[in-house]
Amino acid sequence: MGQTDIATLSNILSVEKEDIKRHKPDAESIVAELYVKLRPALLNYVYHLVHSNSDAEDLIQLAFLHLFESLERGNVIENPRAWLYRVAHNFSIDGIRRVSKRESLLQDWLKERETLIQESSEEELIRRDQIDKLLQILNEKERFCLMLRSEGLSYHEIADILEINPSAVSVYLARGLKKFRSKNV
Amino acid sequence: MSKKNHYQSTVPDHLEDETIIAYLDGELSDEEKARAGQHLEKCWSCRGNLKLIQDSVDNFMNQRQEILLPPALPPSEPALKIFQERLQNYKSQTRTASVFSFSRLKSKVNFSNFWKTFSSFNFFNAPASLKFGVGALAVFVIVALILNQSVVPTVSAAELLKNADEAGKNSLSAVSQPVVHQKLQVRRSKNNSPVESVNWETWDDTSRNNFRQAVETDGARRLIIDRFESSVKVPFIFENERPQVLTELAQILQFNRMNPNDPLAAASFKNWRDSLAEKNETVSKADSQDGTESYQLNVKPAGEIGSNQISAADYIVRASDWTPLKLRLEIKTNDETINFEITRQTSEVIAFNQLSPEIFPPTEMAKLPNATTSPKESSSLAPSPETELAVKTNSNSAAVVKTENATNRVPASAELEVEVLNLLSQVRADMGEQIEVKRTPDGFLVISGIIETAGRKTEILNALDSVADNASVKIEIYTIAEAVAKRKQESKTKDSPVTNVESVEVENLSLAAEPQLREYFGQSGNSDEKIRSYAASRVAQSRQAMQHLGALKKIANQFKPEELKTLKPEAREKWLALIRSHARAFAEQNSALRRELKPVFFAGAGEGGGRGASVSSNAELINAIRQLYETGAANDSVILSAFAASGNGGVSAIGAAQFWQALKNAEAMARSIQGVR
Repeated sequence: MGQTDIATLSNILSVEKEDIKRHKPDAESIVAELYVKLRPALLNYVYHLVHSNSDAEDLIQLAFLHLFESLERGNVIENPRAWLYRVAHNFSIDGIRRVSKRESLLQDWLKERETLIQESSEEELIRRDQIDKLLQILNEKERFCLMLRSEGLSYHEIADILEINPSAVSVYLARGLKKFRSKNV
Repeated sequence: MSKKNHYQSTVPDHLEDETIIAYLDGELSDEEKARAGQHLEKCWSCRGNLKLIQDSVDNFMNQRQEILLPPALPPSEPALKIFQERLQNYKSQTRTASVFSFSRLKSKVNFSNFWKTFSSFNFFNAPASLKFGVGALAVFVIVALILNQSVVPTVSAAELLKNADEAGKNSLSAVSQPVVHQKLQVRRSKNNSPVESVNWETWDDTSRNNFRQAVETDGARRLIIDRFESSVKVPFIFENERPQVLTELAQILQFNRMNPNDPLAAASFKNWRDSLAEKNETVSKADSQDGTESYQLNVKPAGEIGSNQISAADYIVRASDWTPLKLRLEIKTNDETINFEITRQTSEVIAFNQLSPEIFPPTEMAKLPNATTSPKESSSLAPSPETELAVKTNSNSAAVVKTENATNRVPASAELEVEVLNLLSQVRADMGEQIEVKRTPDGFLVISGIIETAGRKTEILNALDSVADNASVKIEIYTIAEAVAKRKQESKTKDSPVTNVESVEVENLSLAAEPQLREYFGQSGNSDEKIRSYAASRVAQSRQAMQHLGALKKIANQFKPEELKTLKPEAREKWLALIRSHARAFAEQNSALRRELKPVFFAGAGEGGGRGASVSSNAELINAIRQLYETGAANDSVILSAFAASGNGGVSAIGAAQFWQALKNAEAMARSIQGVR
C-alpha cells in the first residue's frame, strides 16, 4: 500500500482491525476482504435503487475499485463501510452519468455474466413495479433513510452518506414509517 | 410547556415521533435518553405510540424482505472471482511503476532485519576492498536516483490523458450532484507585449448542465452573466465586459476543439490532440512549483498550421494523482504569436446543495436590449403594437398567423405550454414533423412549423382549436408551398418522415448485412425479395422508434429545471404522461425490432441484463432521456449501416454483442422512463 504505515492502516480499517493483523498491509487484499464481508449488505441496498442484480453488482464492484484507488493514494478513510455506502449510493443515484464511466472500465466485461443470476427482463419489470408501488408513498430522503437504517447504519453514517443534518435522519425515519402506517402497507 | 391536571401533578409534553424512533435506535444522548425514559414510564399515550412505531419498523422490515431485497443473492464466489479479475485489469490499466520505486524495493526487502544488521556493522574497521565496493555502490545509487528524475517516462501520452480523465471522473463520483469549482490564473503574452494576467473562477454544475464564471477585478469577485438576472444579488459584469484575455482564450479553445469552460480537463486536451492528423509528442517528468513531481505532455502538430490554430501545447499533470496543473498554448496568427498559460490554483468538487445560492440563483430572465439581439429576432418575436385579425383557413393560399394587441397579452403559463404539447401529441404532431413550441423572451408561446399538405395542416390546427384564441399563444404553421412563397429567396426541402413500413424501399441488394441475411433466408428463388422486405422493415421500425425518441427529447427539453419545479401537479402529470407514452411506444418498437433481429443475428443471445435508469428526480429523468436518445440514435445508425444500400457492402456492427446489449439497454432505459411518477 505504498507509503501507508500500519498505524494509518489500523485507523482506516478500525472496525476490522483483527482481520488486518492477519494479512499483509496490501490494499488489494484488504479490499477483497471487505468485498466479501460487505457485498451482501451493499447489494441489498443498491438493488432497491437499480432494480437489477447485475446492475447492483456492477455498481458495488465499481465502488470497491474506487476504494482501492483511494487507499492506494494513501487517503484516510475512517469508516470504510459508510464510505462504500456513500459511493455506491452516489453511483446508483447518478446512474445515467456513470454509464460512460462504467463502459470505459468494463470494456472487457461486456459479455454476459453467466455465473451471476440472470433475471429475465419481465421478472425485473415486475419486481421494479412492486418496488415502485411500495416506495412511491415516500419521498427520496425518507426512502434512503429507511433503507440505510434497515442495513444497520447509524444516524451519523446515514447523514454523512446523504449529506444531511444528523438530526434530520430521525425526522425522515419517523415520517417514512408514519406514511407506511397510514397506507396500511 | 407542562399542563396541570386536576390531581395537581404535571405531565410533560408528549414525545415526538422522531424522538421515539431515536430512543428505540439508541441515538439519543444520555441526558435525552433519561428524560425520554422517565416520560415513557408515566405516559400511556407515548408508550402506545412507541409500540406503534416499533410495529411500523417490523412491518417495514417484512416488506423489505419480501419486496425490496433482491429475490436471490447472486453467489459470492463467482462474483469475487470476477471482482478480483477486474481489480487486476484495473491495476494494469492505471498503475505505472518506476524502476527505482521505493515501494517496490520495500516490498522485497525486510527493512527491520536489514537495519539491525547494518547498525551493528562498523564501516571503518572493514577491509579496503569492502570500503571501495560500498563507496562505488553509493555513487551508483546516487547517479541512478538523479537519472530517475529525467529517465524516459513509463507513461505514454494516451495513458497520461486517460489517467487524468479517470482521476477527474473519480472525484465527481464521490459527491452527489457534483459541482466542480476551480480557480485558475490565465496569462497571455503576445510578441513583445507585457504579460496580461486574469484570475478566473468557474463553477461547473455537471448534473444540471449549468456553468458560471467570475473574474477578480480590483480585488473583488464579479460574476459574469450574459443577460440581466434580477436574482443575482452579488457584483457582476456582463459577458461583453469580461476581460479580453478570457474572450480570446475562449475563442482559441473553441476553434481548436477544446472546452472553453474547462481548459484543464483531460478530455478537452484529448479532443484537440485527437483532431490532429499528424503530431509530434513527448512526455517528460518535471518538478512542479510546489516541488511535487509532475508529467509534462508536449504536443506539436506536424505539417502546416493555419492561423489561430495551436502550434504547440504543454499539458502538465501531477504524477501522484494525475490532477491537471497547467496548460500552455502557443498560437500563431498571421501577425503574431500568442502564448497562453492557464494554471490551476485551487480545485474542488462540492455538492450542489452545499454551494452558495448566489452562484446559481433561481432566475427571472428578462433580456436587456443590447447589441447582440438580432433585428430579425426582435421583429419576429416581439409583440406587434397593431392588432392582426385571426384568419384560420383550410386553403393553401394563406398561412395562419394570429397576434393580438400587445396590451392584451400575458405570458403563457407552464400549464398552458404542457396543454399545447398534449394537443399536438394527440394528433402525433410531435413526431417527425417540424413543429416546435417555443417561448419568446417575454413569455409568450409560439407554435411554428412547416407541414407537407394542407389536409395535415388543417388536422393540426383543429387540434389546437382550444388554444387558438388564447392571447398568449401565437400559431405560425405553414404548408411547404406557403413557406416557399413567404420566403422568396430561400428554398426549403424536407425529408418525408417514414410513417409506415411499406414506404421504405431498399433497391440495392449490396447490404452490409447481406451475408447474414443470405445465410438465414437461404438461396431460394424468392430470397432476394425476402431480404429486401426484411431490410426495409427493420429500417422503418428503427425510424419509427427514433421518432418517438425525438418527441421524447423535445418534451423533456421543453422546460428548464427551475420551471419544472414550479409546474402545478396536474400539468406535471400531463407532462409525465406524454413522456411515459413516448417511452412506452419506443420500448415496444425496440422490443419488436429485437424480436425480428434475434433469429438472424443473435440466435443464442440472452434476454436479461439490460441496464435501466434511475428517474427519481427531474434531473435524473432529463438525463435518462438524453442518454436514451443518444443510445437510440447510435443503434439507429447501426441499423441504417446494415440495411441501407451501400455500393460494396461495407462493414456493419449489427452482429456485435455490444449492439445487442445496446438494444437491451435502450429498452431497459425506456421502461425506466415509462415508470416515472
